Amino acid sequence: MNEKHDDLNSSTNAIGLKEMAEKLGDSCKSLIELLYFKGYTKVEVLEELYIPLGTIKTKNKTCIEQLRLALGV
Amino acid sequence: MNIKEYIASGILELYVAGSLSKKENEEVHAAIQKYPELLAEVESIENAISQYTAASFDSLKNQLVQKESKAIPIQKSSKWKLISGWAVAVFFGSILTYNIFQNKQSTSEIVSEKEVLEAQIEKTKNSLAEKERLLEILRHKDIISVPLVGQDVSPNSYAKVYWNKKTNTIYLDGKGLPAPPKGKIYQIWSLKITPLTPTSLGTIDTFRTNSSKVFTIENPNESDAFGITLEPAGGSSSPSLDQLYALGAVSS
Repeated sequence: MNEKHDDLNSSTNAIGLKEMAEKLGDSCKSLIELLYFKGYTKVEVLEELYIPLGTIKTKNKTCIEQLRLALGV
Repeated sequence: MNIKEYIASGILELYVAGSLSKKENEEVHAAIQKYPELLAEVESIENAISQYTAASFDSLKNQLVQKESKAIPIQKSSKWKLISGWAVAVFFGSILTYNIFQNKQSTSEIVSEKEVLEAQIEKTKNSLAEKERLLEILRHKDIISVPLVGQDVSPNSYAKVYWNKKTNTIYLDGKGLPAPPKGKIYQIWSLKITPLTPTSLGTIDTFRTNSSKVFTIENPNESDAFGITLEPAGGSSSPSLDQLYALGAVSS
């Protein structure tokens, strides 16, 4: 558990949020924030970001892909 | 099921976000149980999100720390405010305690002072009542006033006798007499002129202690005059005429 936590810290420290954020676009950051941090539903995301319901899934997929690329996971 | 297409659809990302419908959610859950590749993919997505979250948290934490460090001077000043606040409180508290102590002291002082004053008032009242009583006596219509004049031994002395014949009482006002020397007392005499017969009305034993110097003496005699002599303590059977201090005749 501790090891995992340390790994997490070291990797985030190595990459840094700034770097991560630079790679993520503003729209991705907003989308991730709403979906994962604030637990918005798709309809709420639509209302907030004006992303069509059908697009949210693919848009989010692209954002998470970018994030994973940046993080290497 | 085409695993790659399923992954590419982006449904797993929404599954991790928890923003799928209940039905979709159950479907994805079942698929993950069935295909380990899907489970691995979900774990990777979770990992990415948790790292991003951790990084965001670190950034947020840094922001907070920066805010805190910015707030440090304020905290310091508030600490100083707190300390000075307490100092002021202690200061005023001690002043209050001191005042209470002082008040207690002065209260007890005032109480004892009040008691003294009350005693004085009581004394004054009594003395006033006594003087009013004397005045009442001296103003009485039956009173005969007899001035006694100072004699050779003490020319400046004088006395007055107020005689109430009805009550056979005289009131000797000895204010004009000097205090008798130690071992001596004044003795008052009723005198009959023809033949000259002195009758002792007694000695004045309370001359020093009686502040009004008015002495009440019984006198059943038909006096022609009154005299005061200085006699040895205890009095004499006959007046020492060389020690006659004051003498006065009753005007007929």
